Amino acid sequence: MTTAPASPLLDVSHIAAGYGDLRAVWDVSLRVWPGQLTVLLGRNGAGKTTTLRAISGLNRAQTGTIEFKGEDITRVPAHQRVRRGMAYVQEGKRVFRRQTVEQNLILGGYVRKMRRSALRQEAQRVYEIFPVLGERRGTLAGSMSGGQQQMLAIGQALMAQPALLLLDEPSGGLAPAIVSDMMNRIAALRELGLGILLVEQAVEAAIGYADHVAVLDSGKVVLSGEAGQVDDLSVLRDAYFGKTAAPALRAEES
Amino acid sequence: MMTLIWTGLASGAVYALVAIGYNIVFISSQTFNFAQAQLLMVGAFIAYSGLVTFHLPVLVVALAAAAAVLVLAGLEERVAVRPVSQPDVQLVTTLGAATLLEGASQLIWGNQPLSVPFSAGSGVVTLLGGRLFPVQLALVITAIVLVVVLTYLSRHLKLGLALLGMAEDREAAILRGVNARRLALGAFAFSGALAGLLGLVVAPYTFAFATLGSSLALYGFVVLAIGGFGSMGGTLVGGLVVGLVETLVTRYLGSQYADLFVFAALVVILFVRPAGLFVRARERVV
Amino acid sequence: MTIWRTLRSAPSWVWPALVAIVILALPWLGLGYSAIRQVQLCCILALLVSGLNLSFGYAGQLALGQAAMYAAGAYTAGIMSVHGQTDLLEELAVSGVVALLVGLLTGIPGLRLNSWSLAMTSFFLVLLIPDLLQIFSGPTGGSNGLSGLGAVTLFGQPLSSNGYYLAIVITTVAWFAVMRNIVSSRHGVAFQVLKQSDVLASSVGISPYRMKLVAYALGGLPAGLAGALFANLDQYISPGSFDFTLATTILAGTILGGSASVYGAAIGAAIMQIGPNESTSFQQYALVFYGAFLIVGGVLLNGGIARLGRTLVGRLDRAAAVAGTAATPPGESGDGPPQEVPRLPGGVLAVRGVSKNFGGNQALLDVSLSASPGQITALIGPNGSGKTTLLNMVCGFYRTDSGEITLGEDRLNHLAPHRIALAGVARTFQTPNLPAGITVAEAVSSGRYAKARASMWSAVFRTPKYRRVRKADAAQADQVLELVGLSDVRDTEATALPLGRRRLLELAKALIASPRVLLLDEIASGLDEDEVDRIGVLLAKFREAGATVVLVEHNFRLVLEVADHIAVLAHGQVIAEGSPALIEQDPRVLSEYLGVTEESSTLTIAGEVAAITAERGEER
Repeated sequence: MTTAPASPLLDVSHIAAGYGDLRAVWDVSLRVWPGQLTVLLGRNGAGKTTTLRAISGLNRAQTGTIEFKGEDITRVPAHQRVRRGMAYVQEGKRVFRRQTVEQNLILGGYVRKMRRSALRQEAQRVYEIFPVLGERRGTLAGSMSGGQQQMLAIGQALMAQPALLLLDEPSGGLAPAIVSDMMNRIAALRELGLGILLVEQAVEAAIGYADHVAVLDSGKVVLSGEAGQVDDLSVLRDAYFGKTAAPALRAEES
Repeated sequence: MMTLIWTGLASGAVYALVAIGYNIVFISSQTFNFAQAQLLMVGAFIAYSGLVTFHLPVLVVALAAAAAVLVLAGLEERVAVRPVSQPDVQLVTTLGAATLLEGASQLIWGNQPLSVPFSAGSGVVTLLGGRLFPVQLALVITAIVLVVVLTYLSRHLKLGLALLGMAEDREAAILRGVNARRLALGAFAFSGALAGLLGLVVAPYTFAFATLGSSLALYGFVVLAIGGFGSMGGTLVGGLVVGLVETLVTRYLGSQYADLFVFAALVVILFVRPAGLFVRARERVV
Repeated sequence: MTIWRTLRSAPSWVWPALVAIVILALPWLGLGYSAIRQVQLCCILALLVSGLNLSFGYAGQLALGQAAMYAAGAYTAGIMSVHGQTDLLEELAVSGVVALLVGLLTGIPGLRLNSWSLAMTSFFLVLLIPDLLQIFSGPTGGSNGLSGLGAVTLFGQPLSSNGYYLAIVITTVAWFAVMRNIVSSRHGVAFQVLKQSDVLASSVGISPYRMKLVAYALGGLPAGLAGALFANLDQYISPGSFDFTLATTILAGTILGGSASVYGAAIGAAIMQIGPNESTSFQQYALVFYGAFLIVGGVLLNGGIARLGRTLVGRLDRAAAVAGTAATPPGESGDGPPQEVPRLPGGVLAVRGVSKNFGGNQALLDVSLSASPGQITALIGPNGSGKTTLLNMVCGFYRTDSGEITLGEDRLNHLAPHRIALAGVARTFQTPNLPAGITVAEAVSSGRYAKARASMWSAVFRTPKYRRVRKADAAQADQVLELVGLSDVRDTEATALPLGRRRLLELAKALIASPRVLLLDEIASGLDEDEVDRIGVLLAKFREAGATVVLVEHNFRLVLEVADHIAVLAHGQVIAEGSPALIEQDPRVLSEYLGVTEESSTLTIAGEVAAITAERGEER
């Protein structure tokens, strides 16, 4: 594992967010570095998805700041964050089921200033990473299997050539064999220079690839640090099941 | 008989054109714009003023109509649609917009039906054994061509894909970088521009008549119900059915029965397939 | 300010009654003929608008066919009169019933349709009016209109024009009194619950279908009365009076006056009627104004003039410190001495072999579990495990593919949701769904609406039976509010409460009908630690009282603290069941939540990483 470069790609600082007056996130801070994978763990109901939604702009951060590539994007609308290089792959494989694989990918590249025909060419690069998509480029997304849809969702995000990839439980509902394959590919994306924030419920699937780990419980980060330092399963389990009230360990804070 | 059928097709085409406008807005904003038919009427009135009062060339009038109604539609979206989040209330506000337009039209142009000439000729022709006016043929062709073109554009333009994506899953579209709000406004305004243009083709057939807006609006809704909310191809089928039912019933039973039969068709369709014939209903989620 | 306080100490119906008396006296106060006619037309329009207020403003049904019911009423009375039946009371009765039936029939499509479809379908009726009149032109006179009505009589005596004026005003006042009595009673709350959500209504045992039909019928009745009054006004009616402009005018009157308001209908109608007559420019610009009212009224959603009036009264009340209107009290209460919980005998909820497949997605597979009285049973599981599906299935919103669900001796599966609620299943919603404009006490009492009944008749006439039920409502509400600690906000608007207290309100509402099983849907979600603790304390009390409590939860701490029995759901199946201590250590549960496999002998992350690296090394 490489040592973290000086400035983070994404710097989230003490954000709170929710739905109406249902506050799901109370105080979350985390960072993602280019070419590194940060894993955000927690049971469901802990606020993981809300955190990602706030980072992506779908939900407003009621307090705190979000910095991306050194700029404050806390008030920037969601669709513009995409233009700046942030891509969010929601959980539940939310691809456009009534459109074909190719159309989905073209839409993924919406923010690029390219015509359809050029985007179709660009899609080749996604087909290289996920060959099965290339084989099915004319298929309707709704008729593909869960694993293929997940790959399509990630492919869509890649079409925008993002600097930061937000992934929400990509392993959801997938068979274990497919999951490990998926995780391999995701981890490999680091080599493209992408910073990745991976949210997961299934600890084992994610922990092996992480450069940094943070654990969320009831809307607060209760444990965080470099992966090498968070290696005791019982500590992790306690944090996971809400038995840790201790403030987060920010080992890499300067 | 064929003459009757031509009449039915032409009427059906007018209703289908209204339904197409409904669909554009429905697909892009998940809203129903009651004022769509009234916007069409405004286009018809502008056609009258341009062609009859000021004797301007057709192209100029067409552009003027499209531009004017585009602006009106854009205003409507900002003032009556976007600020309102509940569908019930949107019906009330778009009905308000329709009423306002009707009132304004009556003030400017009076409440007598105005005759508008058709640029491609007004003599009766014979086709396939039936007699019809050229404008009737034009209406049918326009409806078909419009559906084909719009369907093609939606699949092949990046913007079209974005619209379809927005209709299917608005959040997912936003996350792909689509400015959903601006696109919704754009589509709404486009439906207005279209209504303005179509006014030139519709007016020679229906006359420019302010109070026609409400019945067109309702008949257009029946077309939507039959063809399916959001289905472009469905508007042609729906238009065909409604137009033919109206014409045939009028001929064989009398004009006072036409509305009844169309209404009956509406109720039956809504009972049997609440989302229309061409749209698959989704599983209900609590 | 003392003047204001004295004024406010009178019962609220005194003021409208005084206005009514003044209106009745107008012909003798020197008002000229044309002004009298205006008042009569106002009354008729007010009846029409109030019908729409009831079905749309209170019950939330966008049934816009008032003009058609008006026409039905008018022509019924007209035809009766032409055939010699000139007695006003008879005409009112028959016209009222006919219009009510028309309202009912034309509302039936609305039972299954979404609101746009209902609105358009009912609006279409206006198109049909001239056609139907033409088809039946024999009795109705077709497009020429119906003339030859006899002079209207009452008890055999012909009515003078002043006499008829009184008849119109009295009928209008009588209807407004009826409407006021219905709307201010528990039925008004029930309508508003329906308006908020069908699901919410079902959950407290209200049948949405039945309630909607009542709304359509009640919305039609005043239109029929208006029709009869209108027919006899000029002894002539023509189809031209029942057109789209009228339909739009009625809707504009509703929106402008305030749709969820009784007297707003009168105010809206007055403006719509008098406006065009007082100012010629208003008349010319009438449609433009109506359109503008609809847009502005709809956008601002401010509840019309009636809401402005209420806000003003509220401000004056607070300034004058009128009793019972202190500003919203700040949060905490309920930390008083421990309350005695009434006995809550629960039943046994049993789910046996239930499966559900959603178009290829097996959401539940052969799920069996049970919850017993005097116990708290928790249902936990990761996302997509099927917890919510199971909950919704018990409540009747999904049908089982196989298996059965029973509560004691009663079978629940395949029953309609409201019947399941009536059988004793009470639930809370994760997102509390509360109608605006009702108090906390009213919201809580709505939980008893279907259990302890009082007919609308009794509400209209405020019979002793009704008063008893109302007293019981209040007493029971106070009891449960005290139990959950919300007594201090009993008269506050329910939607003004913060989330934590709204959850408590949900709990109180579920409790008030003495349910046999309590289903709590993520009641702790979004709450802070203190609030979660308070819920835990309450749940423990319920358990002691013998209730059957089912807790669907993510909040582990709460579950481990209060649950007696935990069932773990994953991928649509029950993977573990047992006591909290057992579940906490169960390797299968750990595996589902942590993704840790049983096979590893050394459960450490380091071990896991080593294993994975070794695997990857082998592949290359």
